[in-house]
Order: sequence, then structure tokens, then C-alpha cells
Amino acid sequence: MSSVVSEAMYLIFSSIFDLIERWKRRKRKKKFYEKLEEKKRLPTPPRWYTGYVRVGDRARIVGRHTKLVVDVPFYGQTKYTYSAPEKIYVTAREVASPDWFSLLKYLHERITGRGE
Amino acid sequence: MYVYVVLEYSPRCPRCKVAEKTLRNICDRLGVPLILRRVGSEGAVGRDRFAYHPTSIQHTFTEDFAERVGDIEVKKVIQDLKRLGIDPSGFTATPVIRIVFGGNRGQREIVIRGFPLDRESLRQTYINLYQTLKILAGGRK
Repeated sequence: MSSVVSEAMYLIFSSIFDLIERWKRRKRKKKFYEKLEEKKRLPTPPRWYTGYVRVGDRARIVGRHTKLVVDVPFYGQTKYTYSAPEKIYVTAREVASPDWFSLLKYLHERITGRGE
Repeated sequence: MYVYVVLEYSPRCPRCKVAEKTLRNICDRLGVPLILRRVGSEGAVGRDRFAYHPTSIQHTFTEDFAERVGDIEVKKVIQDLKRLGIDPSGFTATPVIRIVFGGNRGQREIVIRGFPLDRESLRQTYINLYQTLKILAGGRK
């Protein structure tokens, strides 16, 4: 009889320990993958920092006044191009002359580099 | 495509008055906005009296600008004036007419310094400015 009891006890306790072991293993696995995910994520600046944050091609919206500097445009974002305003300086004598339009054409070509 | 005209004027300048009258006429006929900007230090009353507003062509009277444009004669004149103790970039030359227009390829400006007073030049200037603005404003449609 005692042998039967001890066998049963062994079975019960071993199954409980196995269960605990399995839980622990699952927890360890979860932690490992969480750490991997954290490494993949962008480093977050400290809470008091409100200056410029340089990010690569990924950017997250941070819920505070953060200035982002994006190196690579997002998918679907149009490329930002800036062209400085071009100015043509002339005097009243040139406006009052009948060759005004030929002069304008010449200056415009000189600015755009099309005439060369 | 957008077009607008900015007239930089000084209150006690006869050429500015003629320029304003002419530009008003042209802009009203073509429906182009005309913006008046007072420059210099001649304000009406109050704190405007003590403020100096520079024109947008003052930097063209410097040696650097003359060198960049390639005008050696002008550069020499400016150097001579500076030797005499006169800095031409400090003068307020009025009127200045800025015809600002822009489209897909960025903003462009035609900056005109001065305005004629004699009848024949005035007529030619009116024709030239009217035609220029008509061409520029016509591109909006």
C-alpha cells in the first residue's frame, strides 16, 4: 500500500514541478525575445530633452515637444526641394528703353543658364 | 503661378508719387495686387520716426555684389567713394519696384531701381511694365 501511495505522490509532485519548470522556461523565453525587440527599437531620449532628435528612416511620434530630424524620407513622402528666389536687378533707364524685353530675356537666360 | 508688385517708397519723393500712380493704374487694370512699403527713416508720427527700414537693393551698392555680378567699373567707383568716406550702401534709393512672381520652379523677382519723370520715358515705362505684368499675370489661368 505504501508503495502505491509513494508512487502516486511521486507522480503528482513530479507533474507539478514539471509544470512550474515549463512556466519558468516560457517566462525566460518571453524575456529573451522582449530584449531582442528592445534592441531593435529606437533609443528614447530622456524625458527632459526637447531638442533635436536624429532618426534614421524610422520615426515614432513622441508625445511631447520633440524636434525630429529625418535623414531619409518616409515612404510616400515627397522629396523636399528648395530653390532660392532668383532676382533680376535693373534700373529705370533700362525699363524706359525699347529693348526692355530683349534685356529681360538675356538676364533670365543668364540666371537659368539656358543661354550658354 | 502668382504675381504681385511691391513698391518701396519714401514719403517725400516725387518719383515715388509718379511710380505709385502708374503702378496703381496698371495693377487695377490687370488685377494684380500692389503692396506699398515705406522705407527710409521718414515716418509719419510716433515711433516710426525713429525706425529705419532699408530697401531691398541696398546690398547691390557693395563691393561684394559688384564683384559677384562681374561689374569691375562699379566696384572701382564704390572703392573710390569709400576712400572719400562715403558708403553708398547706406543711402536709401527710392523708389524700388519689385515684381515678384513664382510657380513650380521657385520664386523669381524683377527688382527695378528708380523711376523716370519725363514724358517720353514714362510712356515707354508704362508700356513695358504693363506688358510684363500682363504676360506674368496671364499665366495664372
